[in-house]
Amino acid sequence: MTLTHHQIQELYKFTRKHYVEYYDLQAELVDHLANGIEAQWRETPDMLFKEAMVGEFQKFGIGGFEKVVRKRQRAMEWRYLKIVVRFYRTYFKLPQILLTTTLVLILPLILFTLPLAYRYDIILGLFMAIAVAVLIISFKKRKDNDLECVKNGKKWMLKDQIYSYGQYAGVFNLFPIVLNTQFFRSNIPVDANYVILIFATMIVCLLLLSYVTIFVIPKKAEELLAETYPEYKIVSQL
Amino acid sequence: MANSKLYKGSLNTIILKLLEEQGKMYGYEITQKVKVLTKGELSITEGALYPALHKLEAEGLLDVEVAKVDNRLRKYYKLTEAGEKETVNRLAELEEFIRSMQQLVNPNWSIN
Repeated sequence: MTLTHHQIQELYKFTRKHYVEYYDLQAELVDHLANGIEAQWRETPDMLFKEAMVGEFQKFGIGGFEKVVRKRQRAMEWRYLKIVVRFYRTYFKLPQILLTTTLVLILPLILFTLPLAYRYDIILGLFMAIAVAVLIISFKKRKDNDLECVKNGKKWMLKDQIYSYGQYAGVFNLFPIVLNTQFFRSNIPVDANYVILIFATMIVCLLLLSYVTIFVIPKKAEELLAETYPEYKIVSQL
Repeated sequence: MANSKLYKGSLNTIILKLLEEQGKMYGYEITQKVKVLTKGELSITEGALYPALHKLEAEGLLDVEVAKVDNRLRKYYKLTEAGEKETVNRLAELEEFIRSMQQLVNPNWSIN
């Protein structure tokens, strides 16, 4: 005996009720529960659907789906990071490396024109400006992206990550805070060529990373989702 | 699971080995296959299986295929080229581990 369309929908509701908000994971868990219920019916044909469903759910342990969701999230963060690296690396290969190198070479020339007394503060200001710009752009785009993430009433974990713009890259926002400490202020010779070159490289790398996560990857979202989820196109056409 | 602590470290290898033999499998099928092969001695818990599958997939060792079966979507896992190579390595490691353990607990026994 196989489950009806209505019972499958009940299972989707059940997963949502148990904090599985992403369709990609819901679909897999629904199939698992359905297989388990059908196996129980082969043994005990009179068993009620809901009784069998709860029985299968209990096999996931005390935490229910919580562990599966948490670990899936971690695995997806790793996948997203690999996507970021894939796109980011193109800026260090021909032809884009020409642009990257040009920026890294031009920026020190500008930084050297800054008065020595304020140079360190202005460099910190540049780091801060990038962090604030990323925050403002992300905030402005948030509403559109929230709508994009629930298009067709289905949430996809990778889509959520893409439209969170690599929030994990936010750790780079710590640069200005760390560099503002007395230790770094006293020990970084801001008049040295190599220091300026290192700062210029860091700023360019950070700018490119922000550009990749905010503009490049979201533009490729549909392509990446179809590549990650074979079911994405099937479901989008439903 | 008979002794979950002993099997825990080998879960990924068990999954890779099954996929190597069967070609492609879905989550529920893996749990049942392990139960049958070990005559019920070992049962993979659902809470451990899916995290392991998702991790192997994120590492690029598994690829996925989706098919519509009986009113629902079914996700099949299969080995990638990197997964095939990794399976060979992990099985060799596991065999080496079994041999070492054997030497410790029962030097007269051999897996060959």
